[in-house]
Amino acid sequence: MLMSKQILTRRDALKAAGGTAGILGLAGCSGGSDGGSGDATESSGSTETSGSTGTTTSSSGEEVNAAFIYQAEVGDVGWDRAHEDARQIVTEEYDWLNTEFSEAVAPGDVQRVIEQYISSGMDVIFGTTFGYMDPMANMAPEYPDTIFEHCSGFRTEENMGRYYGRLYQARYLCGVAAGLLTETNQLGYVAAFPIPELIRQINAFVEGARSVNPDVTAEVRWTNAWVDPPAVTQAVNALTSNGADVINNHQTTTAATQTAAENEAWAFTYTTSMAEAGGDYYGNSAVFNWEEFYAPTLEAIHEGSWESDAYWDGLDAGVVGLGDWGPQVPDDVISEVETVQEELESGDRTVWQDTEFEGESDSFLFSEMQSYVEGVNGEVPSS
Amino acid sequence: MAGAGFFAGLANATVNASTVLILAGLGELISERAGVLNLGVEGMMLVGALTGFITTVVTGNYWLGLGVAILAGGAMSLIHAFLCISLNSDQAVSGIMLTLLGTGLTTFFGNSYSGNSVSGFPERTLPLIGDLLVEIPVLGPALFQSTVTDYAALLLVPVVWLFLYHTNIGLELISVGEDPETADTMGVDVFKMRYLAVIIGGALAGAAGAHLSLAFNQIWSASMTAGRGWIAVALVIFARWRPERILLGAYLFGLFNALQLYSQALDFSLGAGAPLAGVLNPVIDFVMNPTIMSTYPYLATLLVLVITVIRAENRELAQPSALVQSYSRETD
Amino acid sequence: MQVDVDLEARTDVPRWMAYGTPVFTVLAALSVSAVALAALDVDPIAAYEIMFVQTLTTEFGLTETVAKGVPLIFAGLAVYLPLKAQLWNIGAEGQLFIGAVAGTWIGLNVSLPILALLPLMFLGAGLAGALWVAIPAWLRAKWGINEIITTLLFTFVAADLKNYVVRGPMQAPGANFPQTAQLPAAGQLPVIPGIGFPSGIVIAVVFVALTYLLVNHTRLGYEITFIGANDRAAEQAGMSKYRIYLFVLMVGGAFAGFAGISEISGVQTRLRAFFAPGYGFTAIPIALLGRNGAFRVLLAALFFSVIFVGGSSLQTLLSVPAAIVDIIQALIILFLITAEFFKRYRVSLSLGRDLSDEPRGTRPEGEV
Repeated sequence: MLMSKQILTRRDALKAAGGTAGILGLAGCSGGSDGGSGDATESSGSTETSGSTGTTTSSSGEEVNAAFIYQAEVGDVGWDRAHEDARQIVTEEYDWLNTEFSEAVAPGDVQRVIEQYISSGMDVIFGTTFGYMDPMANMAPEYPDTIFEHCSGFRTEENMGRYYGRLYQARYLCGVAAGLLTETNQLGYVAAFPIPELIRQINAFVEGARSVNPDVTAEVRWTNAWVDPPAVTQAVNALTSNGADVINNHQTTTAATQTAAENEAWAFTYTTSMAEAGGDYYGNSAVFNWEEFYAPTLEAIHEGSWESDAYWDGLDAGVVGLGDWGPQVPDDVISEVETVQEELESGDRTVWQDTEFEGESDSFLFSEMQSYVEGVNGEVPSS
Repeated sequence: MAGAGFFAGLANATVNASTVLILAGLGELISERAGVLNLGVEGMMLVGALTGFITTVVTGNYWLGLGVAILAGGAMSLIHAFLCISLNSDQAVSGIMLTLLGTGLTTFFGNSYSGNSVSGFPERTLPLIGDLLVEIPVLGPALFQSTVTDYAALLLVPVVWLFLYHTNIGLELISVGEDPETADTMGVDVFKMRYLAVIIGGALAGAAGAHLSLAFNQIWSASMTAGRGWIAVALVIFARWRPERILLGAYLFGLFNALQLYSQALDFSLGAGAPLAGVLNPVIDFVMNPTIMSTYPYLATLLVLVITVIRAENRELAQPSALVQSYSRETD
Repeated sequence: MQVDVDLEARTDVPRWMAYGTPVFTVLAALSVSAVALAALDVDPIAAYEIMFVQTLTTEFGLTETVAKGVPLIFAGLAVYLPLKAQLWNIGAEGQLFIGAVAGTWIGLNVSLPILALLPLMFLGAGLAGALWVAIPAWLRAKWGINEIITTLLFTFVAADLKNYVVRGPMQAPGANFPQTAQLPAAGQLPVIPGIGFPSGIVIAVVFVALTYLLVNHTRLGYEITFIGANDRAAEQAGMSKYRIYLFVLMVGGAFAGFAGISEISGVQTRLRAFFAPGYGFTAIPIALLGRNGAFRVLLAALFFSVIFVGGSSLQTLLSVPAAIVDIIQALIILFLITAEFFKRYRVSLSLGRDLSDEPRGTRPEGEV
């Protein structure tokens, strides 16, 4: 029921979910003999009627039918928007590709939606939020002819892949720009919930800034909501009145960008461009270019060469990157960032070098980072 | 760390957070004083926020935007009024339906506007003495460097107080919420009075929404009210149905809201050597946890309820006696 | 000359109206929604065929309807029973959260065979839900404080508490996105072998039957209904309003707790931080639609389940935006409460009769 979304935060979960991720299995434990699968096979005997019809694994030359499932309504900004933009790009690109999407699908409902898509002939299901992981992993063994691709989780199966992007690398680039732009050497960061996904991005941003400007410190405000524009505005006011002159944002609204610009602070953000809201103070946005994943994946499915894997790529694959620069960002800042980007892509530089997290495993980075790097004031809240 | 700048910031954030609560709270108060509970505040605020925003995007005139938001909130509440007053429907059900409808409609029609910005109400100082007032330490900038809607909300508190207690219409409105039969006998048009109250309530909720989308945030974002409509409902109870206490309550709730953000800069935990640090620090962590802090407005309201009923000899809650009771004249 | 609308409370609702109104209501709501659908270039007939016919005639649709119906039935009962005593449990959603938290905690921390663990989880969830509504119930019973407002306030507190424990004490280690660990197999409601329906439906039907017996065939049920119809007369007859109010609200809270754990145990298998299915609110129109009997609550819950399941089919099959489905749902509630009026009042229009010189007002007894 829609109201619940508003007052009781079903919506809070929305974008969020996708933005965050689990643990383990980064190495891609395919062919899973996961404990949950056995139960699931049993528990959905009733659905077999719908499963078998119309489903064929695509091989070369056949059409591919792909369904995308989002947890939120697709608005003009945010996590689901980025996936939806990519869906439209690939749909446009390939004449052998048909796509459908469903929005505002809660994790408790996703199994039904997937079953319906499969029975209507979908070959591949893209589920774009963390909460879909269990249902998808449980269903995959029952529908071996369907390909499942889950974004932001950690479970894989023989016919279920996992994909995600290293957005923190793009945050690092924003940090480089911020370190060069700041005059007060104080950065502000508005974030939703203190979970590893967000902490990783904050740390990368601050590391980027300190790589070009060691005097930089940063302050974080947690708003405890994925969408709460008034709270974001309050948080930005608190940060700028404390002296921050660059603001970065992790909430699915343009409020932070807008308020930063009003307070004459540079505004950086994520997932989609918010240039209009930032005006002359707009810096840039760390964006997902999901088409860089969807296109090759769909091509592989089209050619019949798809295999399950755990995809976690970054700048070098183009799946994450920067958007367009704001109109007033100086050229020397842009060129410095471009140099750093080349170094990151070539491996000459890493985000975590010379930090306490240097040499940590992907699995640690993915799900266990629970503390700030040096330069961020205060401590991560306990829960 | 916690210097004058900190308190000035906190005061500013408190005042900022309170405007929307004052507007919506006063509206809900007027409606409830006439005996009609309206749980559709959140939905009406969203409709006000979106219609005001779209109007401003299209016409470039934020005054027109505010006007449309007020009308839209009023129109929305008319549904509630018709159902509850004319058709004697359940007020709780109708109100919740209104929130549902408002949320659905604004999510759908607002989709292509999320991400747009608008140039709305600017912050101004008052004419003549405004520049002086802003110089007042800590509270000056918070109170006297504001948007028109902020000033209007403050001004509405005494206006509503005067209206309710010192005008004939206001007294009739209150009498309708206390004892509709007697009011009817005395010649008060119960139906007309309740319609009036509900529509004023909706108009103010619409204005509260427009304050968010045109003055405070100047953006549209689906569900941008983020539950503030429900806090406004709690606020009316916290204020025990008195307009002057709405102001007090709105500041207190605003302070809770601001503290969630501002307390993050402070460390409240006791040093390792302090007595009972091991026991108290987890308690302090819990109490200061932002998620837990967001329950404070509701807990404060419940506390007021409990204290009031237990302490008062005559169990006087100040709740309008006929609240949530529909009224019909038996004509035969 | 003026137009007057005369209202006369019906003492006896005609039989055709009792059954016809819900049907008419839904048809009216669907007609209005058809306009919205047509505006989106969706053929309303095709849409409703998918929404209702396909949902009700395919094995898939029926199974899903039943699965979704289980928590809705419990939530519906949570509002229905207090409503029998003319109390509105608007906060069933909060009791549902607390029930889900308590039941999940037991499922994760107690090691027992399935036939012991599941009942214990339901017991814990029910108890937690009942305790969560105890304060509003006491405030209502003892002090007459409106339960609509207090149960609602407790819902918001419950939502934050649930988010807190799932992101803190109950969070599974290594789960980056806040959620509890998965319930063990012994803590998950199985499906009924052969039919494929979730076993939760059996428990739900049992409780519907128990509620029916309680309300219609026990002394206690008689008192509840009596107090709901006329609390003053009931008190004069020696019935304890205090006791009845506490009873109906707390048993309602327990039902809401059942709704929470049946969803976690039967569908989601773990509690996620932002779990908020909204069933506690859907329960309000369900109870309104089914107020005349526990079995009608069951039917009403299944009806809303069809709307949910069929509504999401609209999205997957016809690409109808999600918000439209929500709007259709709101319209059905809107028409529903409008129709309630015509069921309770006989309306006649008359011209030129001025009634203002004979002002007599009474509050209709038993109105809500």
